[in-house]
Amino acid sequence: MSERYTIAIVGAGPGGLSAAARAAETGTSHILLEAAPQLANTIYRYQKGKHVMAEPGQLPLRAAIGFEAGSRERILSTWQRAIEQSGATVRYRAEVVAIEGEQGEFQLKLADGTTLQAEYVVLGIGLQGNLRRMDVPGDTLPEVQYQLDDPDAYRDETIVVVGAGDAAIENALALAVNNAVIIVNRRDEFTRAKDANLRDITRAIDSGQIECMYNASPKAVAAVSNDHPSHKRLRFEIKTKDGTSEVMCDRVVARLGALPPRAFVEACGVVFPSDDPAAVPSVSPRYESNVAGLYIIGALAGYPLIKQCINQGYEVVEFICGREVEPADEGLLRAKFAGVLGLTKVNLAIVQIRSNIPLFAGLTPLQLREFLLDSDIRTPIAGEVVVQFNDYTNTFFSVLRGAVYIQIDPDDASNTIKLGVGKFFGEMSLISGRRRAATIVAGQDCVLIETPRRSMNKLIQSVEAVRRAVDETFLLRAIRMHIAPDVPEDDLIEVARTARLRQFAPGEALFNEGEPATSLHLIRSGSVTIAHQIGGREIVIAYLPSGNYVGELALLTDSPRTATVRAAVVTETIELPGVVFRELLACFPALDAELKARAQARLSASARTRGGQSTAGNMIEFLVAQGIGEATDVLLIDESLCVGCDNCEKACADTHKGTSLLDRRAGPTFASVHVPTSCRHCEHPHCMKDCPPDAIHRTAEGEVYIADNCIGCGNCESNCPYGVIQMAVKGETAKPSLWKWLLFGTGPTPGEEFHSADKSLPKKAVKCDMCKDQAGGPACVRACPTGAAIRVSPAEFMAIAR
Amino acid sequence: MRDEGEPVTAFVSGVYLSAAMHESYINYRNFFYLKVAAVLCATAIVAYALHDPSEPPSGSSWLGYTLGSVGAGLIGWLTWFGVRKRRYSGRPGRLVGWLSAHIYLGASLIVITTLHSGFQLGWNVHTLAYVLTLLVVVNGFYGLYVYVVYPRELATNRAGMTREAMIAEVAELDRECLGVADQVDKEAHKVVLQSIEETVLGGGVLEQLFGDPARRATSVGITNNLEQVRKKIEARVARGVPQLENLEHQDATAISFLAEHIIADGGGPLRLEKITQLFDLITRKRVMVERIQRDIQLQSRLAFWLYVHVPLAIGLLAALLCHVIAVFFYW
Repeated sequence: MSERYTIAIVGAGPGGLSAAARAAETGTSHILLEAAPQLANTIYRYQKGKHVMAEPGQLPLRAAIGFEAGSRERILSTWQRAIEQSGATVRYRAEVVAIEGEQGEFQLKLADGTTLQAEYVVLGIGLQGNLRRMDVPGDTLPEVQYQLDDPDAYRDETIVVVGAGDAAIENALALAVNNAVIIVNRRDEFTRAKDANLRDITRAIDSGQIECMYNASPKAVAAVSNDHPSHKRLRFEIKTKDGTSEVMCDRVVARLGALPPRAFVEACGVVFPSDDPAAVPSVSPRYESNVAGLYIIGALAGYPLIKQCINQGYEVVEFICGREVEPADEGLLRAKFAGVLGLTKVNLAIVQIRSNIPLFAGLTPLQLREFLLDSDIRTPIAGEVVVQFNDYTNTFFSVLRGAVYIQIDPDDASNTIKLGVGKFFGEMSLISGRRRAATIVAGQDCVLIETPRRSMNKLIQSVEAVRRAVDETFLLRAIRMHIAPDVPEDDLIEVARTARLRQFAPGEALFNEGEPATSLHLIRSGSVTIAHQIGGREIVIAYLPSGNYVGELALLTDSPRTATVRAAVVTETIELPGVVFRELLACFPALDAELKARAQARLSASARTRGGQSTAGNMIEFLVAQGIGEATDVLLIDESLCVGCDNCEKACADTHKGTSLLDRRAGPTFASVHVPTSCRHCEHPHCMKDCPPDAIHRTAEGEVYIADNCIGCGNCESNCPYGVIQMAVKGETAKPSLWKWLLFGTGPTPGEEFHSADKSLPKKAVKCDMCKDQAGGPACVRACPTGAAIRVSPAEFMAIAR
Repeated sequence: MRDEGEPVTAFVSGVYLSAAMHESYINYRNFFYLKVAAVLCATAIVAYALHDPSEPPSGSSWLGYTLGSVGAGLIGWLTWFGVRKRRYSGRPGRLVGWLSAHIYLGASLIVITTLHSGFQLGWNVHTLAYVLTLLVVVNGFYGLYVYVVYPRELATNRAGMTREAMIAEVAELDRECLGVADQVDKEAHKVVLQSIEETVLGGGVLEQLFGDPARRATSVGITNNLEQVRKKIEARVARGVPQLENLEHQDATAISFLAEHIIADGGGPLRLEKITQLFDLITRKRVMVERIQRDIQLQSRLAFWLYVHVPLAIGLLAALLCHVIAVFFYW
């Protein structure tokens, strides 16, 4: 007679652990079956000391086991302890090879031949148990591995790493310390990698530390005999563009991701929605699959985040036991809608959002819940300013009820445009990274959803329909705002439809001098330089940030391009066909006249520059080369005034807990203008890109700063192309009095850098915050005795009369 | 920050950053403190000229007391600069304004204190305070000169390189030199190594401040030495060259000539080439070392005057205190 349980939980990952702990807690008969000899095998195989995230941060944890972000070791030991204390029944090295039957009478066959019986089955086997193999002859040789636990275990070997994702890159870099490494990339670049990894691998390849074979794929691996002259163990045949090449190596590490263990799951009777190898089975809101009584949770059900898995483990036991359970985020969401009349139930609110706001109609309830968790519901009183003109805020707003009014003329508050239910705003600052273009005030009984930059960007990137809708609206509003403010919206819709979004790499030309003019570019994000051919050389004469348009001159005057325009940084433009632009002008003579007047002013300004000094142009070129094209506020030092007293650095260290966030000496100089290493507060801060706790923010005044919830992971430090972020131990805030030092020479020197003797103190990322909490602005500028140090906005000093 | 209406094209003039954007300690708020100091001095001079004391002019008339109080107040406030410049947090206003005021009002002390003395000088603590005042101000003038002239020289000398980069370049050149010297002969290696070991940057205070960077750039001896060796070889080559006037083929002929003597000479042409290369490298290193010495010199001159200015000012404060006490208690 075989053992019989109410619930059999397959897989002791976060979801399975949580389910077992909950079952034990409620006294439900259960067994947790794990193929590996330890708990949470996927996390167990993470690199030593890896920091594990607890995303989504807002989602409350509901489980019988604990979980918070921390090192791999800490998390594993917490779970180990929790599962022992819970009294859950766990069987290790118990690989389930088949599940048969249905609700009430499942038969689970184990690899050792035993059979278990269960009324319900919870499948939490994840994806990592099924690593994608190379699928070539010899891919199961012992020296061919699909995981790498400890890179330091290998020395003086020749190792081929196959793959181009983060795992492959991280392994290749770690192995290259003690081994000769060749990385095989199926494509001609590393597109899937995180920015920091991409940069590190490119650097390693450029410096020759790692050899890279691009456009290459594995063909076959074969073991070679010991007496082979190369003394290597493997012969690895690799297909390249020019045929097959052979690499003699000791080891192959293929990091090709993981696939759902489809054959096994299908054998249980579960149906997959498509043939896509990455597809996961669909489950009901209660995680039940098409097989009654068979529940699927975690990554295999499409929820890859640890916290989600843990919650699902708890919930699935509740569902099986017939207890109702609200989603973990229900309470939080209810609280968000608390102030809104009539929306007492979260489901009701979700229905209303989906019906009122077309932008979100296509989102699944789960996507919308996650999105709302990050957002704020705001109910401003009529007349309240929601968005202030010229602020640097970058949240995104959608109108759920009522309306808001955009003040299109900063000088005339009564000149407004109404935005009603279902409309959204704030996309301009979100996309361009620049100041708010207009003040927006709330109307009567207005309910708004305010979404932070990161969540909105995530949504734009993951839901195509949202991206398209936001882009189209941006296009229309940008054209209206910058080119044709008085043209009715309906006329512009046609124009906007013909416009195209274009992206340019730094240095790439939007168009060249002398070319026929066919279009107009409106700079959507980034910035451009404008250059003339003078004496066979391209001389930069002006710099234009986003929100400006270029290329209208040639269209208005029916002449070839008068200048070459190049992207200063990664730049996006809206390209408007010349034909459509001319038609627009023909229909609106007032617009035609106004644009001509503006163009004339620009022409005469450029003529002045052209005739004169190229120093200014060279200066723009120099500054743009320093990446100042994407800066919003940059520290410059006039070397003809700087006496090298370092008072700027001392002031910085003094006001920032003992760490100077600027390096005066470092950085390039041109015509006595020195660009020290100091934060430029970029339009689209590189540091914000990959911040796990979302600790990097921008204030309304534009300062980019790191909040206290920094976990010290160092991503921002490696993502910053300007090297202005450091990892530092923060010193004491309370400083002894200056007089003590001045009169008795005791205590720290004012402005002295803080050095801690205690090496175990945690380091956190620190960067310039432009002294946002100091009266009077940046301490470096205030403390400069000669006036050599200034902080300026590049748009202000590089722009030439528009 | 500029007003919206101001033409942005100011930048195009090429001096935009230094002139328009940069308000320096000289032209702070359009020479505001220069004007204040000028008015102060003019007022003092006019008052002194109009004043008709019963006794000869001195510090004890009402004008004398007034000028003395103004002077003492100024000195107190001027020394406060040392405190102010170290207070980095929570103080609005820019230090550049303080320095501007410090310079112009400090200079006005010459007029104020001189008039306060009524030209009565003697061997006493009062005159000591006066002389110390003048010394501090004169030293300050030197400091001003240094601040105006040296930053530009520093920037020109550095030509966009940091001192660390220059030192790294010297180290790199040293490595290259040794490598090439190895290929010349043991003697060359020894001499180059010695020159590297003897390269000293900076040095003592006097040397830093007044030393001649060119003289102090080491490896002069070695380049002279190399130059001689090179000349010798060249001369020998020249002697044997049949058509020396044919400049175009000079090198080729020289080499072919030397090629015949390779065995006798033990690698003549190679030696010549390497010596020339070594010569170039050492010259480059010499220039770089000279630049570093110059950099150190300018930087220390920028800082050194303060080591005179501050102690003198503290001495002045002490003398001033004695002067005031003496005046009030013993006059």
